[in-house]
Amino acid sequence: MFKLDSKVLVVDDMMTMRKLVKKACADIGFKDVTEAPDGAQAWQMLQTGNYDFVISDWNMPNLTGLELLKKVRGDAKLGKMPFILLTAEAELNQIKEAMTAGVSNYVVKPFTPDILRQKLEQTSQKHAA
Amino acid sequence: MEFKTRLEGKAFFVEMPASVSKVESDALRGQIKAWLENGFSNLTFDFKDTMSITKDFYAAMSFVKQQLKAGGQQIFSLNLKKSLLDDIKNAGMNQVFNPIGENRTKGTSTKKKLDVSLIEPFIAATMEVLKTQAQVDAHPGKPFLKSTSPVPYSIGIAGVIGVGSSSFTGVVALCFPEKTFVGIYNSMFGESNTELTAEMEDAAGEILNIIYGQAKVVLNDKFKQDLQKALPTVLRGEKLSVRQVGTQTALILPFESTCGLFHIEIEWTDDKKG
Repeated sequence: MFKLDSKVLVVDDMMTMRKLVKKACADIGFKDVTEAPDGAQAWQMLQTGNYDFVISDWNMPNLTGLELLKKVRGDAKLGKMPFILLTAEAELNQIKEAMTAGVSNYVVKPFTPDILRQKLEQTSQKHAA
Repeated sequence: MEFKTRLEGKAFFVEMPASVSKVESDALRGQIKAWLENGFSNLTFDFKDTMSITKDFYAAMSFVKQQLKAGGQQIFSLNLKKSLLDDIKNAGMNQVFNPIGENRTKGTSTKKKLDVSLIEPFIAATMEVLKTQAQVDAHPGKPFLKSTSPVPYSIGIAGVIGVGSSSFTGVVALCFPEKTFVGIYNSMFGESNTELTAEMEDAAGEILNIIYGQAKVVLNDKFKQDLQKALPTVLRGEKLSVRQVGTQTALILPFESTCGLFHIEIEWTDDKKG
């Protein structure tokens, strides 16, 4: 599992969802969780923020979660950052698109803290290798 | 045997056959090393055609996960049917298979006309979303036409989404009396609010967004609708009375929950060819 002092960036244009993800992270034990209200702002924050992993919604104004993922994967410094997409859409084409872009993991809403924990454990194992 | 595979970007896709047993397990163990040479990040198994998986395959998947561990790659499993998903969960193999995009088989009617069978995905999605996201149990009552009877409460807040497809134009609204919604919100966040606030409005839209997302997948896959993405708006108080809908017919899907009554209202115009 990621260390509990990891710096987490939660990206979602819906305040409720940011609050839910933040609460789920807190339930798991993460202490340092920052929020961004859209992909563009998240991208700015990622340049300087030294985050350990990102949990991002897909459908957002300014820059979608997929677009943000592609920017992260294309960046020399951020390219290997663990990036989890969290979305209400479970359309197969969308899932495949995320995988093709190199998503670390994918969570379909609704989710429980346990589901998020499992996904984070899988992701940390993958990125620890 | 040879699997049908393809590499797309950082993802390596493997299409699984209808029956997955020892033959496939042995083949998987034999082919994984060659696949790894493709340099993928994600190894994705597509089970859309798969009806059965024997336990031999579980061991083979565990073997594959070990092989991927050194290179930091991830396994994903797509389109597992619910019965297979249940078997995998019960065998403690969720972490190995990492299933996403479950192949939902609820609502088995194949009727295409806009009738009660098309509302089943909304009912199922509502129950699942409230249970998972808010730990609230909800049970559907018998649907009825709005014109025959009003709902027995005032609506305090509603999430409203415009819906369009080649056979359906209308609105789906998730409507709560204030007390019910405050209870659901409190349950979601472990809070103890006593009245509806502006901060809570966002939650009504997001709940509807998740319900719609779930129902849309089933309606598009199973019932061959072509519902598009849509963003909900939230209405409170006096705004509810000026909700603009080009409605001809409205169906009420009532629910009873541990937080109180609420309903989904589906309104549509029959101006498209079905």
